[in-house]
Amino acid sequence: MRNYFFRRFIQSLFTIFLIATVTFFMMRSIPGGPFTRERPVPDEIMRALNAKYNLDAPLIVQYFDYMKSLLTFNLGPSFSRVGVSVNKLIGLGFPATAKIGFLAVLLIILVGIPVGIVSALKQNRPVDYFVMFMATLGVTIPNFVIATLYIYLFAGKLGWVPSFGLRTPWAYIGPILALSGYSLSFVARLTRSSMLEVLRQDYIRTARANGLKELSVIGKHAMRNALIPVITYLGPTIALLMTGSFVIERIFAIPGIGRYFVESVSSRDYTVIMGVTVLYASFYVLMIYLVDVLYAMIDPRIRFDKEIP
Amino acid sequence: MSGEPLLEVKNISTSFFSHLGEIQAVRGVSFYLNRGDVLGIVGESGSGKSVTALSIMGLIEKPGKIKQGEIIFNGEDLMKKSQREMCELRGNEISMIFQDPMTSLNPVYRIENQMVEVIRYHNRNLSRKKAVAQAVEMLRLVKIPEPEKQIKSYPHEFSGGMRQRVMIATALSSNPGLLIADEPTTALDVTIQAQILDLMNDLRARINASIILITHDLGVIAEVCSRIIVMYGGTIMEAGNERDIFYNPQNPYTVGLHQSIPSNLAISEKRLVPIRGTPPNLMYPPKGCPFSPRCSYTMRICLEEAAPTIRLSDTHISVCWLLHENAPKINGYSKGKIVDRYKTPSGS
Repeated sequence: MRNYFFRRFIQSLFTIFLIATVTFFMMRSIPGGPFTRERPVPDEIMRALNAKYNLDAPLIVQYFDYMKSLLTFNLGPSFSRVGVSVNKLIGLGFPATAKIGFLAVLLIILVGIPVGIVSALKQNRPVDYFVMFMATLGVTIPNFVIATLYIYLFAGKLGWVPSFGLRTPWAYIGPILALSGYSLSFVARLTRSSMLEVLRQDYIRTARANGLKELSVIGKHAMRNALIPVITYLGPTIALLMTGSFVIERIFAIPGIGRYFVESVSSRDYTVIMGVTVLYASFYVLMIYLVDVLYAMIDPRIRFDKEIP
Repeated sequence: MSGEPLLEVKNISTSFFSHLGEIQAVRGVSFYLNRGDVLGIVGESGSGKSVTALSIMGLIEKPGKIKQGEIIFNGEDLMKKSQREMCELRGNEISMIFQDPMTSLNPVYRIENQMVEVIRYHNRNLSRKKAVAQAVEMLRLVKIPEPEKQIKSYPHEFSGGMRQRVMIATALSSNPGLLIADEPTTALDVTIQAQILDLMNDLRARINASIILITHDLGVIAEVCSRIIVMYGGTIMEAGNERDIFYNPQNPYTVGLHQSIPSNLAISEKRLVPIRGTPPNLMYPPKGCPFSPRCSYTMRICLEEAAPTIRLSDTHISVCWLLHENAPKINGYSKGKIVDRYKTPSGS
């Protein structure tokens, strides 16, 4: 098993390397560059700028230079923000994004899963109907609608919370709700259906026939089996939430990295695009790796140490 | 100890209330079981065997409901017990094993974990170590090789027969007075079937438990049961000992069952005779005898009125109009006395 996890770790690193490579060449195949403007820039200036940032070297040389600096976690200077390194840019934006993301993930796990379980246990009763109605709303209403409505009502009309920024604890509520809304509802629905499926299994009947109390039947025997699909979904979702949402950060004016990412694409800020992409990819790959580890811990039937012939 | 009733089931009816209507799965079933006896319940799918067993266990879940009746176990009415008291009883004094051993054990916990949880739940003073030792002992009793090592396995590492042995070991770990086995060998191949049946019989004698063995296989019943109940359409059709049911069946349904068993073919070279038609829809059970739409001797009264319980001997009863003294004489069927079906329902 340990062997498998080591192998998977190496594979993950290779995946990140591949993503970086593909992104690098795809980005360079788009016409234009970081210093292209609507009014043509004089040739001498263009040459000087390209020379300064080493953009006049052959592409393949630039690629190896970039990968070398990536190995030392140096993501290079930003092209559009003079004198600011990409490391610094991420250092500035990521904390806010990660804070909101982490709290959203916490909300999803602590509310979504329990609500789904209760809903399954009270199937076809008012509680279940209510939860599923709310969850359907959560899945179908886009997050920017929730966010805008929230600001209009609680910041505008009622004035209970600030309408932008993260300066008070209250300010976190809106972004967290808007960010987690979809996933929270989805996890509740997923947990419910998975739980209902498990509760019909023979081993649950066996547990009951052996006299075990409902707490053990649900909390021990049903839970562990029911959580497997939920964990599958949660892995990539956590990566997604932790790396932020451009829309949410825009609406609530949160100084996160989402906005750098979008802006850098249109301004061909090559190093920022690369830096943020590698960060996103690393998170994603890490979460998928963790999900695989969790799988093996939860379900003994999932074995990795045997090679598939 | 033999001879005194351990379990008395009196006129229980269990229904499931679906969106379409009430499904009357069990309709007035009465029987009893003496200590140390093995009672067989046979019948085709949907005849109410399993629902009868689950009713005794108190495991009928919504939308199901036991509508009426009494279940007296060790002198106590189980119907009057709370869910909590039933939990104490289940797996402790009454245990149950199920049809499909492949899916009846939780796949994510080790055998040890699952057995020890049950053992310690019913005997809270037992240390973990002693509970493990007891679990190992039970596995040895059900003839699992190297039980100390195998107890660390997960269910998926066991074969079907081994899993059913684990189920039996868990069920018997608390020395229950009653073991209900719901088609314990149906999902196993024939050689394993015989082993499991032998094992159950062996253990029954050793710990002096009574067994209710539910099956659709008359061959299985013949091997181990001292008394047999034949069920159809949620009611009892005939009850008696092995001789009565196998050599002197007095109910057209039981006769039909015998004729449709292929094992007779090799011996007698007779043609298999299937029972025509399909089992009744228990949402709209027939007004009279549930077998009347398929019976070859149906009389007008069979369609109109539920059949009386007729006593044929000390051990043998049959629920059929054909045995009534006013019914025409049919070859092979005798006449008997009508008895109160709820008082002395199945023999003795």
